[in-house]
Amino acid sequence: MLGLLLLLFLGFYAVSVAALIFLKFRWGMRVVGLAAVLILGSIAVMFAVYSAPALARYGLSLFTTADWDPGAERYGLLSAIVGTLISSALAIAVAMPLAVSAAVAINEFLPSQVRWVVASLLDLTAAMPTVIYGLWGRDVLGPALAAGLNALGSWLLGAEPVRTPLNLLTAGVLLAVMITPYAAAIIREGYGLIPRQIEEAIYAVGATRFEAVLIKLRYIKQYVAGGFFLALGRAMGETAAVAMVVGGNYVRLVLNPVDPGITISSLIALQFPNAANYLYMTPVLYAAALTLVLMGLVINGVALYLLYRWQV
Amino acid sequence: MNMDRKLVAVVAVAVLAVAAVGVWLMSSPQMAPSPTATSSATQTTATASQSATSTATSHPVLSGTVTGAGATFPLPQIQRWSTLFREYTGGKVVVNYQGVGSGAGQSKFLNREIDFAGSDIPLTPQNYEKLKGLVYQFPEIAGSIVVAYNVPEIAYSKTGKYLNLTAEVIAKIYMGEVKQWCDPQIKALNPALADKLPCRDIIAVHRSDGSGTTAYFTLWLAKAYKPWGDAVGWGLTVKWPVDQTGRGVGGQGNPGVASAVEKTEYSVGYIEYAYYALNKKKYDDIGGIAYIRNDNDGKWYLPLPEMVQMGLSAGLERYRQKYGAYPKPDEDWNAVIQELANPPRGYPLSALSFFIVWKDYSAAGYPDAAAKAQLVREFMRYVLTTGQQSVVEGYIALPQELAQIGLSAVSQIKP
Repeated sequence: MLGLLLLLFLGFYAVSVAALIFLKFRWGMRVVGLAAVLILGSIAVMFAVYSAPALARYGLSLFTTADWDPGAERYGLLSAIVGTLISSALAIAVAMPLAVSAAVAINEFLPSQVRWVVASLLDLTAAMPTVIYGLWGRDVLGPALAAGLNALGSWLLGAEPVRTPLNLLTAGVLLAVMITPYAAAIIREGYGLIPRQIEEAIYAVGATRFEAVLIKLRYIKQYVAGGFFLALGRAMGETAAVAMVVGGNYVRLVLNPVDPGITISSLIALQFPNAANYLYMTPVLYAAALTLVLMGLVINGVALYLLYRWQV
Repeated sequence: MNMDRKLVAVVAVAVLAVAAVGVWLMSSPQMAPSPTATSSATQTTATASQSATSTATSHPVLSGTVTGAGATFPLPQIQRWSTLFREYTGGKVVVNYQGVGSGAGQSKFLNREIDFAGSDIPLTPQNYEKLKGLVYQFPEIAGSIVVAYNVPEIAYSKTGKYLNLTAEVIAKIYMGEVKQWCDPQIKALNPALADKLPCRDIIAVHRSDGSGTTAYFTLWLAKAYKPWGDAVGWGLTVKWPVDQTGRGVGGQGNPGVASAVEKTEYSVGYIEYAYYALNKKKYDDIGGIAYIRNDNDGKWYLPLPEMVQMGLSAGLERYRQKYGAYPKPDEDWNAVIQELANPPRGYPLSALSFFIVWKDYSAAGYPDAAAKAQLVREFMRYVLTTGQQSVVEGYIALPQELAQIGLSAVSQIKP
C-alpha cells in the first residue's frame, strides 16, 4: 500500500517536473531541487518515528551516557558520538594536507604528460570498495601503525602506548586514506579554474613559487572548504571499513585515540543484524542514525554559512 | 512552433508515466489481496512452487524453491547441504539461504518473508511467547569454540605445549581481574610453562557484532563460574567488564577476532573451531589454543569432534534426568541450552545452530502450503540424516539423540 502511494507520488512528481520544465523553466528546476530536501526530510522523519520508543524510554540520557548492555536493555550512545568526532577529526587532520599537496603537485609540479595519469589514479582510489580498505586497515595499516608508535614510544618514553591495532587512530588514518581523493578532486578542479591573469599578476609582483601556491590556495578557498566538508561527511558516514578496525568498545567513553572505540555508523553496522532479538535495540539504533543525520545537517549548515560569508 | 514541440514532449512524458503506473497496477493484484506475502522473495518462491504442486501430483519428484535466512555461523554448511540436496533431487529443488544474522532471521520468519529460519540461539523468550505452539525448533549442526592465545614466549611450535585454562581464569581475564600472563592463577594451572609466562598485559579480544559464538561462550562462563553469571550474564552481545579497563577489544565476526588475536601480541580470544582449523599452523607459531577443563569431571579437553559430541550427549542426558524426557521440538529451547552448556563430561564449550520451521504452513498463511511444507520437510529430513555425514571441516555432526529430535519434528510438519 505504501509502495503504491509512493509510486503514484513519484509518477505525479515526474509529470509535474516535466510539465513545469517545459512551460515554466525556473519553477521546474525549483521543484527538482525540492526533491532532495523532501527525501532528506522524509528520511529524518522516518528515523524519528522509528526511534520514538527509545527516546521516550531513555530520554536525553541516551546521548549522555556510554553504555551497551542489551541483556539489561541499557543503552547509551555517548561513546559512539565521541568516537565519530574523534575519528573524523583525525581523518580530516591527516587527509587535508595530503589532499591539498596532491592537488598542488598535480597542477603545479608534475610534468604535463604524467599529470592526467596521476590524477586518474587518484580518482580511481575513490572507487575502490570500502571492504578492501577495511581488510587492508585491519591486517596491514593497523599493525604497522601500532608497531611504529610503540617503537617511537619505547624510545622516547620507555612505554608502549598502543595496546591493540584495532583503535580509533587506525580508523582515523584509514578514513584519511579513503577520503583524500574526494577532497583532492574538488581542490584540483578549483586550482584548474584560476584565471591566467591572476597567475601572471602573482608572479608579476615577484612572488616565489611557494608564495604563489599559497596565494592561489587562498584564491580558491571555497573549493578547499568544499573538499573539506565533502571529505568530512564521508568520514563521518563511513561504515564497513571502520567497523573492521575500530575495535568495538561500546561501554567506555574513550578519549585516547589509541584505545578501541566505536563510531555511530559502525555501531549500527555491527549491532543491527541481531537487534531484533532485543526490545529496544532497534529504536536505539534508529536514534543513532537520527543523531548522525543531525550532526551532518549541523556540519553542512556551518559549511554553507562559511561559504556565504566568504562570498560577501 | 517551438511551443508545439514542447507540448508534444510534455504529453509524451505524461503518457509514459501514466502507462508505467498502469502496467505496475495490472501486475500487482496478486500481491494486494494476500496479506502474508510481504516481500518479493516470497513472491518468486510462491510462483515457483505453485508450479511444483502441479508437477508433484503427476510425478512423485520434488521441485521448487525453499528460502531460509538467519545465522551466519552455519552458512558454509547449509550451502554444502543445499548443493547436495539439489543433486539429490536431480537439480529440481533450490534451497536459498542468506546469512543475515540470527536476530534478523527470526524477525523475517515472524513476518513470513522466508520459509525457515536459521538461528544460533533458540527463539528469544518474547518471540517464543508469540509463536508458542505454532513452530518447531531443533538443532541442525553443532560446532565448538576454541580459546586461542598469542603469547610468542610459550608458542606451541617452541614448547610443544598448549596452555591449560579453566572457566574461572578465562572469566576473570574477561572481567579484567586476571591482568597479566604471569598471574599466579595461570601459573598454577601450567606448572610446566610457569617460568616462561611473560609479565605482559592480557588483551582480551571479543566479538564487536552480536553473535551466537558470544552467546555460547558467555553462557558457558555463566554456568561454569557463578560470579560471571551474576555480574555479566550471557547473550549475543554482553557488557564486557574488561572493556572498562581499556584492555578489551572487539573484532568483527570470527575473521575479525582471529585477525586481532594474530596481530596483537599477548592477546586471547574465542573463535569458532572452523576458523581455527583453517589456520592451525599460524596459531601454533604465535601461541596456540587452550586445553579447557571441564569442571564437572575435572578432565582437560581439546575440541576434538568426539569430545564435543560427548559433551552434547552428556548435557542432553542431564536434561532428560532433570525433566524426565528429551526436549520436544515445540518447547522453549532456552531451558535446553542451559543444560547443554558446561555438561557433566566432554569438551564443555560447544555451540549449536537451530532451524525454525512452522508446524502448519497453511495455518501460518503461506499461499502454497502443501508444496512448501513438503519441500521443507524433505530438505530437513535430508539435513538430519544423510546431511550429517557430509560435514564441512570444522563443524561437528549432531549426536544421534539430538538429530532424532529434529526428525520427530520434521515428520509432523503439516502442509
